[in-house]
Amino acid sequence: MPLRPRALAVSAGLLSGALLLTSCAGSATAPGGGAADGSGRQTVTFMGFFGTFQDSFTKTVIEPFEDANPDIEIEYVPIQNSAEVLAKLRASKERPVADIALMDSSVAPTANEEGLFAELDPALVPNLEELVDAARLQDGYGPGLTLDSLSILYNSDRVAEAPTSWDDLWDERFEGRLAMPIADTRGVALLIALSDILGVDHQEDIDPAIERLRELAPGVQTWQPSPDVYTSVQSGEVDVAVGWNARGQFYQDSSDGTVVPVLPEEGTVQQINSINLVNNSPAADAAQKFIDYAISAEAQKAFGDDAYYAPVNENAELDPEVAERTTASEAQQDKQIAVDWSWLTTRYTAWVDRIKREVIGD
Amino acid sequence: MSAAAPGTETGSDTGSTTAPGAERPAPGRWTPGRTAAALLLPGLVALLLTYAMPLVWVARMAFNEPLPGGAIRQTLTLGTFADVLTDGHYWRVIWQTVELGALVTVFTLLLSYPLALFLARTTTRWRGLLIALAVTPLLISSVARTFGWMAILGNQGVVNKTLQSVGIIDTPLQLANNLTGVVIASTEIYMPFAILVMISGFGRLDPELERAAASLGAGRLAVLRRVVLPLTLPGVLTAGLLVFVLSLSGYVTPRLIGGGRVFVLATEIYDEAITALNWPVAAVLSMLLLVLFGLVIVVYTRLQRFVERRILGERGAAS
Amino acid sequence: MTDPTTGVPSPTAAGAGAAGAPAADEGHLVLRDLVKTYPGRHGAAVRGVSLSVPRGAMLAVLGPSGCGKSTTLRMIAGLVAPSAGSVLVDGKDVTGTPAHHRDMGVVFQSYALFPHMDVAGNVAFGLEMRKVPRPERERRVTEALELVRLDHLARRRVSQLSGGQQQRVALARALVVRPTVLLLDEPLSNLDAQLRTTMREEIRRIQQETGITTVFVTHDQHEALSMADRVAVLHEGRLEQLGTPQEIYERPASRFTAEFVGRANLLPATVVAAASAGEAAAAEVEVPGIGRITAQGASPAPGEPVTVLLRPHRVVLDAHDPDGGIARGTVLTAGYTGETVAYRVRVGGSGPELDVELPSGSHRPSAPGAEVGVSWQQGAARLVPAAPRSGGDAEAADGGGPAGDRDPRGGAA
Repeated sequence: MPLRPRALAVSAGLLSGALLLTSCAGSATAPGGGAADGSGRQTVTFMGFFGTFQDSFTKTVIEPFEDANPDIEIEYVPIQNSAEVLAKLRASKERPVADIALMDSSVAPTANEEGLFAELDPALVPNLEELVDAARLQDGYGPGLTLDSLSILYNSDRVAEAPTSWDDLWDERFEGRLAMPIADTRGVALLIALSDILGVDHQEDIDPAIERLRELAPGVQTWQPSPDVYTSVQSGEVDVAVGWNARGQFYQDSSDGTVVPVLPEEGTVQQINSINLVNNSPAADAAQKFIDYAISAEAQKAFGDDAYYAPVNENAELDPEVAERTTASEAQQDKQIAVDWSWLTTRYTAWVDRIKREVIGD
Repeated sequence: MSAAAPGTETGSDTGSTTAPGAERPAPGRWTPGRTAAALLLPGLVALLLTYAMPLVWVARMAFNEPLPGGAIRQTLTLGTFADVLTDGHYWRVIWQTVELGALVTVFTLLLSYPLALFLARTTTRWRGLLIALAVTPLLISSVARTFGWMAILGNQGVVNKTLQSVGIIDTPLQLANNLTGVVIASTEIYMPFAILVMISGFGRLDPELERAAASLGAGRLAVLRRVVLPLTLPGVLTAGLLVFVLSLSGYVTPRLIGGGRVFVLATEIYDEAITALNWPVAAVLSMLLLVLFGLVIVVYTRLQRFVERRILGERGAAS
Repeated sequence: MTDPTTGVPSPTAAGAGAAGAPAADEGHLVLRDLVKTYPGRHGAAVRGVSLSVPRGAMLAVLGPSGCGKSTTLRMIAGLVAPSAGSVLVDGKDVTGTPAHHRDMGVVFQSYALFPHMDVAGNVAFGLEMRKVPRPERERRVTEALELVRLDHLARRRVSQLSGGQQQRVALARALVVRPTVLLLDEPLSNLDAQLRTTMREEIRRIQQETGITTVFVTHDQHEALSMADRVAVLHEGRLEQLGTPQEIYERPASRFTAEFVGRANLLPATVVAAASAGEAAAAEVEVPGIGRITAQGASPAPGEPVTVLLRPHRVVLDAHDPDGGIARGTVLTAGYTGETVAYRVRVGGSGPELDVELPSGSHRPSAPGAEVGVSWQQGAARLVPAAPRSGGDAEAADGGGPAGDRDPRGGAA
């Protein structure tokens, strides 16, 4: 059969090139981007974390907002983590696939710098005035939406005497019974907390904290509990672990008290998720209206009471019972370990690398 | 990993729309060659879009420069390659990837071979059912099966609980959250693939040859060693290649049951891309994995040729 | 079924009185009541076969496909375990001996050459298994290949050989170990007609040179008759007849053998009286449409129905004197095949149709419609026991079959 490979290749190349062009155009017009339909109703696309966070946030923040603003519809696009948000926004810089995006405050400065996020207009987001200090992040860019903190989790069925201090992780009672998922933000936060306990400035030197973790390594059952640290503690696969407080509190309720999160007496490090306006959003005004509502005292109280995140609005007062279980508790506020996340962004990767290589991989 | 997603999505979206365009008759003579070309085009284009394009994208990313905090500087540098290749950590990761692949391949082949041999040789009318049974695990996602293995191998798992209650051990054996657990679970997960490949690769096996060998004085072991094994070797090799390659790129099992201790290329690529946001390094590691695949294929081809020439071909009495 | 004192298979006695078959107690290879049933399959594949092969003889096991001949061979080789019965070699029971300790050479229908070894490798395999030292091994491989005239192809790959060459390799491989018994399963069925004739002679030559007791299985009567010293006809798992090729052909012990071995006209008849034709037993029988004729063979009582066998080439037609023969006939069809002319002739007005085969050139061919005289030599007509053997009784020569056996066609092609 007379096949001319060269002609074949050329035509294939041309065709695929053409297809590629059309597909790019297609993907750019398809999703996201604050489209207004004929009725004048505007859709604002919100990228937020999946799972219980989505359930709670939809119920306590999005639905009340939509009730109050019938002309705006919030579309929730669930994402796994901040890296996924970054990837999606990078891939759709000109015609973004979202108008608002949640992002861990350790990642957000990168997105700000790359121009993926836009500065907010203080006139459109008056609630910025009411933010607590911790939630005031990079000047002009998205503020904190949730305040969480690193906790010690333990299984109350298997552990008689509750751990109260970070030092208790080194207690020989828990040798071989520890889950330490610290090859990520949790490890970074733990390094800061340990440096604080060891009396070292984490901006100067984290060697002592790394050294301290190395001592812990032989007693660690798993560095990567599956499916996650909360269920591992609940099932008794491990007795003690480190994890985020808000989800720990959620699991305490759902496990009837088997999983117990402890905010250690030395204090802990806050983790902040920021809410950001995506650059080039065609619905920037509506998006900022929603951001303003999300950080309002009303929304912060509703969401905090439901999901155990400490409020970013100084006027939001959680139920006393709930407040005790968040970093908003007075006891915790006093001992909060300060972190400059925009500084930390530049060290984050290096620290995670050191944890992986010097603590886990050794 | 997620970095490749956009490309993949657009590829699959548009792949289906190529067919009508490709089949449109062109002016002029319609030769068989052009028909063949037209028939090939949709597949070629789909392959290009879903496979080649993302690969090119990843390859391009490997030459960018990572900045602290996950930012990327568009440039053309071999710096990331140099950083990775001079970093002992990544060599350890590559070594552990190969080590895991080798262990899993050996155990999978050892356990699958007798089963495949039985299934290929049996004349029972339940043969079809038995083969179906051997591959049913494929119907369950490897995630679910890995979790199953965690329930079996964990400190609170069936094995440890049983051994403890019987009094054989006091403290639980570390069967999960380490390389042991990954090897055990991966072996089970890849066995159906190995069995399927072996059965279909055992075509040269003819029961009459075994009878001929027996009639010539060969006992069971001699028949296995001198007749069955050489004739099934190509199938075993192909199964080995498949399992090794699957294992090299395996992510789920090392991640879920490795306890964060088992660093292999797939998990490392994910961590670099997702946790460290270091896309260029993730891309470089992806390229290294590709190189590894290439090496494996080269070794496989050599081995296959060796087997065909030296074991299946020229082996004689006096040699 | 067997004579309890000697283990001699009785069918031999039934058909062959005069033939010089060696006494069975000298049998080098003896089968006793071999039975093979397969679970889940209706009926047995082999239903009690007993026979004996003298040392150095060549036995052909002949039968249509599915008659159990291959299963029988495999039971001899130890590749299939009998459900009942036993196999004896040199008087020693080897039924429980595994194949690899039986010391029998087998040539398989598919040859079953090892594709991963060359010609010499295949031939040497059995010697390696017997731990024959290398120098002797090499010498014997060369000898065996010389015997089958393949010594120039020792290093050839098996897949590069022709069918006939593969066949020879298989033979050399089986012979090189000097087996006590050589077993050949349809050895020529995969060869083309011309090669088959050559290999037939080749196998016969090698067998006679080596003097190995040989059993071969075939569905081809020519092969069986031309190669073997003795032929065992198998039908539906049973031994129909065991005898020399002449006995099998000339004096078939059953209707099945008569029809299966060679072409046959089988005419239903009724016994009129026992008669004597020379030394052998004979009878006068009434054949409807032909009349009274004399037929060789042991006869049942007068009045009993019998079948008369008349081989087509033993019949003579006379176109010049239609009334000069045993009966008058009309030519229905005539077919020229080169060496012979095959006629179909109706005897009498409404008598049976006969197949007749005359050497071409020996006569002036008759056209269809021609009236001819039909005759045959004294002794050409034979009585065939009409009943198919049932149970274990081999003494079936008393004839007298069921009514259904009396074929109104009167003849068979």
